Parts: sequence; structure tokens; C-alpha cells
Amino acid sequence: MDAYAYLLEHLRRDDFRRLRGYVADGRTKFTTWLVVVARRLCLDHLRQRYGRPQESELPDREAHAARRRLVDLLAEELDVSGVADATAEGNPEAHLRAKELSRALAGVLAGFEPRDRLLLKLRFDDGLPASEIGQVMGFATQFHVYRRLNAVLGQLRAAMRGRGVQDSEP
Amino acid sequence: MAAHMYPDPSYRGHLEAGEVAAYLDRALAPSERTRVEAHLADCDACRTEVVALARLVRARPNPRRWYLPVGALAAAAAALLLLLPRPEPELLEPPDYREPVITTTVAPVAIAPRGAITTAERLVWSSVPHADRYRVAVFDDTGRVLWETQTSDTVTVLPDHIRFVTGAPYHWKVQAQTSWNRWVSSDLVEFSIGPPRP
Repeated sequence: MDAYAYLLEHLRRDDFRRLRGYVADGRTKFTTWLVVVARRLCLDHLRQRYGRPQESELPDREAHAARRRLVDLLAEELDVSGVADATAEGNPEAHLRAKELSRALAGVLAGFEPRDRLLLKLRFDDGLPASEIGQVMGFATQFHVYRRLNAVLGQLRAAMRGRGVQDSEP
Repeated sequence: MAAHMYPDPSYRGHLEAGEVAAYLDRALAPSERTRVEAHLADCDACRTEVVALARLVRARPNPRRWYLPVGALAAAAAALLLLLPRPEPELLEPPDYREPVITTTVAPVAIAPRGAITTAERLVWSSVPHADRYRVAVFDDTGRVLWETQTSDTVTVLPDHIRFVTGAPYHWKVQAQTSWNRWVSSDLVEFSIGPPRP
């Protein structure tokens, strides 16, 4: 209820400045826009009240694990052995290779279309199901998501091979 | 990503509310969309926001339009119904062997006379589905009933004996009987008789 009052108060403030920020371009729905603004205001309210969420270690570790999913997937496909347990202590060679692979991946991804990079991020960093990616990015169905993912992964594989990742196999 | 819309420092450098909404509604031009997607690919905070919003926006139930409050919508619909030629019902509706259950009542709309007019000879209103009877009443400015009648039609002729004073405001409304002893009323509409145009 507090959040609701806060929301109304802020929408009303400065002669409805926030509400007047909505640009009716005929394509963006007012309701969608209002959901965006309302969510932001609610988060502001929660932050003011309880402070910013502490950056705990757990999500960080999870994010790291998620990021490795793509590396692992590529490693598997590229037949780079030993990457799966690369972080294991006492295997400096595999650790080095994983680092190398990550660096190569970052370099290759930088040259990709933003849309494809976003697709990979949502899939492998955020671990979203294809149906949800479709809703976020505006794919018609989840099958379109899979199709695009496969195409992008194919490009990624080719680009990584082009960088000689496969050849780095001892 | 102009910050003028969102002076809050925590959103500076991030996507504007308008951009996020436009992205979710697929309303961005290709170049704009590419720019937004490039930001989303690199910015965890904005990506988290867009994913959460996509869940919110897509999960919203569709408004059930036929249950929307009557008001202006019904008035517009009723007026349209009156003006448009009736489409063949079998083309639009699947065969129905039962009378549809009436879940909403559409109020009749007083169509004419309205506002300043030169002569008032008859009253016209929109029809209400399943209404078998209409009751119309004309009032003067003090609310006194000048004339009242009932009809099954959607038009009635004003009798000669009512003398409207030029320039004085009058009101009228129509009620439709939708079922036994249930009446749904139009808004009260004002009109006045001006001098005849030369």
C-alpha cells in the first residue's frame, strides 16, 4: 500500500511530469509504458526504504557458472578436452586453456550483431528458456528462437575455429 | 538515452522508460532496436529489467472487452449499430440454438435533438438489443415533465401542443425496457430551439 501511495505521489509530482513523459507514438501502448514506470518507481521506493540489495557472493558465483555454460558448450562441440573441469585446482594447463577460450569467445562475440549477442546472453548468461526469450525479443514462437540460436552457435563455432581454437589442442 | 525523462541518477546511462516500453511493444525502428539490443546485451541491469517486465506485461490478462463498462464505448457502439447497415447475422456468428445470455445492458443513446437546433419535430435514439419498449420524456429547465410517451420504435414524433420557447434550454431522455420492470436510461440530453435560419 505504501508503494502504491509512493507511486501515485510520484506520478502526480511536478504537475504530472512523469506521466507527461509518455510519448504517444501510436505504437507503444500507454499501459506497457506505465508498467515500466511503475516498476521503476516501486524499486526506487524499496531502495529508499531498505537500501540497495547487497551484492552477495552467491549470485556472482551463479553468474559465473552460467557464463561458463556457453564456454563449456562450445568446448564440448569444439572437442576441447579438459575444459569442463578447468577450474579444478592443480590443473594449470586446463585452467589456462579455459581462460584462452573465454578470451577468444569474448573477441568473437564482439563482432556479432547486437541482437545475436543479446540472444546468447539471455540463453547462456541468464539461462532463460526459449519461450521466454521469444517474449522478450519478439520472436514469433520458441521454435524461431531455437532456429536462430542454432544459426548463431554455428557462426560462433566457425568463428572460433577460424581463430584457431581447435588447433590449440595439444 | 537522454536522461531528461529520468533524472534519477540510478537510471542514468541506462535505457529510458520509453525505450524499454517501445522495445517490449516492438515499436522501435530497426536502428533504434539495434541500439537498445546492443545496450541490453552489455548491461545486466537493463536486461534484468526487460526480462522482468516481459513477464509482467505478457502475463497481464487480456481485457475482456465485452464486459467493459458501458459509458462512452457502449454509446459509440450503439450509435454505430444504428448507422451501419446490419450485417447478415449468420455470417458473423456460429449457429446458435439458444438465446445468448444477456450479460451486459447497453443504454440507449439520445441521438436527436441535441444542442442548438432550429426545429424539434421528433425524438430519435439508438436501439437497445432485446428492448421491447422505450419510454421517452421531455423536461423543461426546471425539471418539469412537458411530455412523456412509450413506444416500441426508436423514434417518436413530438406532438404539436408542446410549445418550445426560443432560446430556452430543454432536456430529454429515453429509457429502454430490457426485461420485466427493468429500465436502462440514456443520459439527459439538452437542446434548445434557436431562431429559424434565414
